[in-house]
Amino acid sequence: MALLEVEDLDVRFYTEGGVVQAVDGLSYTLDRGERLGVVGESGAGKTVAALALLDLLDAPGRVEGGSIRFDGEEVLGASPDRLRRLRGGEIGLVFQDPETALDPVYTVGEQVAEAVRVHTDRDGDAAHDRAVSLLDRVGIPDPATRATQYPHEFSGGMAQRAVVAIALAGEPDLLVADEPTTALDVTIQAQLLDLFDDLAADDLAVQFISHDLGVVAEFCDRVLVMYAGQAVERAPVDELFYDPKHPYTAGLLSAVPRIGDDRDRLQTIPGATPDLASPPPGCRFHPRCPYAEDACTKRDPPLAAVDSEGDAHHAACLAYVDDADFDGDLDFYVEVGEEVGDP
Amino acid sequence: MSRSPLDGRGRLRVQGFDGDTESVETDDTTAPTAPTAATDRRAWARFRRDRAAVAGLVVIVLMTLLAVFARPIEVGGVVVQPIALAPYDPAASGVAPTYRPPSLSHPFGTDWAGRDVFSRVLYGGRYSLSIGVVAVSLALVVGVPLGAVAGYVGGWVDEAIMRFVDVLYAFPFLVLAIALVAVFGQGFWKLVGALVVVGWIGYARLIRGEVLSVVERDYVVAARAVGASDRRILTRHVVPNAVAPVVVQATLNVGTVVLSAAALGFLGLGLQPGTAEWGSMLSAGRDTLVGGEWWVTVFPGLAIFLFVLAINLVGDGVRDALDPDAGPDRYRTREAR
Repeated sequence: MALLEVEDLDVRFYTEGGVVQAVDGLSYTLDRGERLGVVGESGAGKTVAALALLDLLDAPGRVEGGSIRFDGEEVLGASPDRLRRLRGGEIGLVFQDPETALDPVYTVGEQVAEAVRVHTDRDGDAAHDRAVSLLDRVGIPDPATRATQYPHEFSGGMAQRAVVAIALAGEPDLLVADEPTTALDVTIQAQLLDLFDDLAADDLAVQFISHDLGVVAEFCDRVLVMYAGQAVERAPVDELFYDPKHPYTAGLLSAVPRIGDDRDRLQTIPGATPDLASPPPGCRFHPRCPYAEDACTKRDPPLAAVDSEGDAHHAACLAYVDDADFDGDLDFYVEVGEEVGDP
Repeated sequence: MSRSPLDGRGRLRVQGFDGDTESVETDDTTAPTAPTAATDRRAWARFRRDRAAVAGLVVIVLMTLLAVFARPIEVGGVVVQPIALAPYDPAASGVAPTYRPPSLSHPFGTDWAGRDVFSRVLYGGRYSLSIGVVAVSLALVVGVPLGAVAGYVGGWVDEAIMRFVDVLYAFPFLVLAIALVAVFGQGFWKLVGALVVVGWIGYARLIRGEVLSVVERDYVVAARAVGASDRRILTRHVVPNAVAPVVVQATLNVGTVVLSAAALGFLGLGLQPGTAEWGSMLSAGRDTLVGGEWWVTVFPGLAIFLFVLAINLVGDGVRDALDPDAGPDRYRTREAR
């Protein structure tokens, strides 16, 4: 049994501009110790889907349907007590911006200790000692001293490590990291990825949300590509990067700037993410898709297996739907060139 | 990087430099700063640099000391504070002929009953200052929890509390206070009660607004994400981060409340007539304005003026110290009453 099973998740935001379908029929699973990358543009529903796992959505957002099972147990509609155990105790959450995820009025050690107290029966000095050892675990040097300092005395990388320590305080089985390295510069990013790598080696599952494809390629086992609230492609990481099946994924990959590239302009996907209060009919990507045909404007493609052997690789495109009225060819391909050496 | 499934497969390796990351391990630590400087310590350092605020604080401390040491204080028959700075008993009449102008033996002159105005002004500080401090503290005790709960819980709780606040706001302050005093009668605690009833609504509104903005912060979501209970989040994370403007407002309001108490005293609705409270002294001496005995009213009036001015200076200083970015008008919503 998978550790986390999300089925047909539906999240809507009831705003003045209409009902926004932020997450639409999202399904995926995550095994113990697995690392799943979730990628997509801003507004694709990555963060909303993550918050829904912990039932942390606030009005006007609401989970309207579907099922989220953690360890076989339904999360949606669970009792407040159950939810409090789930939050932090079974699923830890790491935020994008460490500087705002820490409360400025308490010492970092106190904030880690608070999470320890919520989830274990340690209190007082025992909780504090545990906090210090957690700070040590996430690689903060001189943790005893650092524990007595306030968030403003921490650098971005150190603060993010502290946020990870808080997420680990309840000894969760799954760490949901929402763009944990986006606010950091690249060297610190690399160190944090090392830390996540190290943590995941201890059988901790990680759902890694990012829009940095490079980071995802490096860290994850499997990738889920989201567009406009839907999963458009789901594949093992190397298949996704070397053999993308969905035009959107191909567009994302072509937009990654490369060292040694001699084009003058950065490649983009034309257009913008659709307004989710009134999404386009049919496939949501069709207004931006160079391969779109008439059929694409009429039928919303389901997430289908792209080839007969194995069911690891799925894409939501009519090109893979047998009975679809789609004649064209997705004629993109990945060119694997020479290894780019150090300049 | 220990593992990378894409290693060795050509130019799709987006992170082409990962061999180097191991060697730049050290940049991540900030140089340890000086031992923990807590927020309030930094605030105090900023406050100290503000000369006007420090002057105001000195005036307040002086007036407080003068009030405390004006006459001996007895608790249960035991004298706990034996010093008497005031030369005469403030309530004793006939210590000198009536309406004596200021002189060496009576620096502020005497009033219609032959009481020493200097002693009464010193002693009166006890009433005015304690009314200000007690009324504001009680108003905080009522307003902060109600406003915080309204902002945090929202929904009909919010509606109920804030509409009640709106109703109280709709009453002219003096009319409401007069009605309360008329119903409950005069006396220290009744006066304080009337001031609290009209005072807490300002704090409730202010902290509700702050709470609404603080609950959107990531650390509140983070606290929920580690499974902290609502009560814990509200008391430990939301209120401490929302309370700064309320502290500023409360400091400034001590002056307003002292003024309000004086106004009520002047209308004869404050403490018992004849009490050495500054407003009541003004009230009792208002006939003398025509007669030319200026000292009877000028000195208690000056005391009120000085105290309120000092409070305002301190309040501004506190605001700047707690929130150096805030403009001067940010907390002045209800001052123009």
